[in-house]
Amino acid sequence: MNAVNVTTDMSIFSLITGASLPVQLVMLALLITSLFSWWYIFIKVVTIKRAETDAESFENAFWTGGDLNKLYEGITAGRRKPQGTAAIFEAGFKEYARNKQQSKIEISDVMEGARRAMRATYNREIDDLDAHLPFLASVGSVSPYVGLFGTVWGIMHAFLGLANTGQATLSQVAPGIAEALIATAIGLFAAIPAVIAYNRFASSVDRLSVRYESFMEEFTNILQRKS
Amino acid sequence: MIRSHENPLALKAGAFTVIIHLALLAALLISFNTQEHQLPNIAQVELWDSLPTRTVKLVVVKEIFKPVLQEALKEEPKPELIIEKADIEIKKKPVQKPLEKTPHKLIEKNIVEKPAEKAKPNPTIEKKKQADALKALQDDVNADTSASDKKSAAKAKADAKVAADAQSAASASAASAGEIDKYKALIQAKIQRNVNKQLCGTGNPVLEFGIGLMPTGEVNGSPHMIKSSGLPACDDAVERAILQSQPLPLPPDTKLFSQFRELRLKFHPNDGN
Repeated sequence: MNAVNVTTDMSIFSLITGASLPVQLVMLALLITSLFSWWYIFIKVVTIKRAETDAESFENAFWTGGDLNKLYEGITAGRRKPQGTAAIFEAGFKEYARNKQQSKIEISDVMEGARRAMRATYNREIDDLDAHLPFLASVGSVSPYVGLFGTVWGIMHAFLGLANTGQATLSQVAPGIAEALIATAIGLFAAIPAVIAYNRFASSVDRLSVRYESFMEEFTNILQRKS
Repeated sequence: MIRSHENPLALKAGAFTVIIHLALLAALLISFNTQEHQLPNIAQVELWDSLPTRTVKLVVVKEIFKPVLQEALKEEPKPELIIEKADIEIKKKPVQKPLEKTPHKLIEKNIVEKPAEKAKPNPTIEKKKQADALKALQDDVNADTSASDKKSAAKAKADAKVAADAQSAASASAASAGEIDKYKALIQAKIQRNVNKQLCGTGNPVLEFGIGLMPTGEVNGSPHMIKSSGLPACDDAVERAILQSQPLPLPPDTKLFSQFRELRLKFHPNDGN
């Protein structure tokens, strides 16, 4: 009879408010982590998607075989700062054109300078793509443990409370354990999407970086042929 | 925290995040609510509200009625006289007639004696809640009875008196002692109903069992016999009935449970119905 009364009293709010302070703190920390990780996940979904479509459209424009000067002017004239392959192309072509005008510099040095400029832009682009991924990785690996810590603490608390009462019944420990398990649930809720998103974003960034690198090599070849 | 090129996205992503969390919270709340509605059905709690008191009452009434009447009939010296008369008549008259006559006379005598005896128990039944009246009646009966089976009947009556006391005490005040007695009577009545009475013969065997109870009303381990009825089949039947009666009714107040941790219960399988 008692057990039924206890379970009917249990709502998700009473479970959270009834938990001990450390468990509540753990829950709060996990909730904030979860909010942040989802925020980053949405941001990254959009930015990576955008980088992919940008790369796609620029490569289409590049390989249709138009004039490189026209393409360069079209990119720099745009209001938006060029991203991805467009930014790499802009940096490489700018450096190449600048060095080309100075007749003293040898052709190999001109090529080397353009390569360096493209490499620097490439690193910057990849850094932007990689942003927040370490955070998602640590949320994915650590938050289950944080939740587990809250659970262990809550169960310890429940059993200590049990030791003070004379007769041990399940209905005396059950609410405490349920409260404690909420912490693990929140930890898992934060961790699972973070891990999935991390893996997905990491592979997307890898594929984009391969794409950028191959474009750099091909563009270097084209510049070499031109000079 | 976020890159400059991500700034325009920040607000939209934040809104999505909040929506996701609210959706999860809503799902959690809904699932919790559905669980709450199902739980009482599974547990099936208050099956024992009114039924046990009724059975106890029945026991009381029968106990007071039957033995008194039976004893009254048995103790009459007159039936012997009738038989003597009949013998005399047999000598005088043909064989068939006295055989018809004697039963008539016996019945007549019984009818004559019954109202006289019935007048006594009636007021006592009305006052059965008063322990004194019951005690007086019991004393009378004890003084009258001499045979061994009559003694066991008196014991049964004493138990019935305890049950009646428990009932009256519970109804008078919700004192804890009354509550304990009431639930002991409930436990006994529930087990009694599950006993296979055919295995206990025609006599009036008395058994005593020690039962360890858990707070859920289940029997802890197996019940151990303190006093056997002498019939192994009957002992087994009662033990099976105890196990079959789980969960046993317990008071809702958990403070009283310590009184039920170790129970000694007496059973009279052939009494009560």
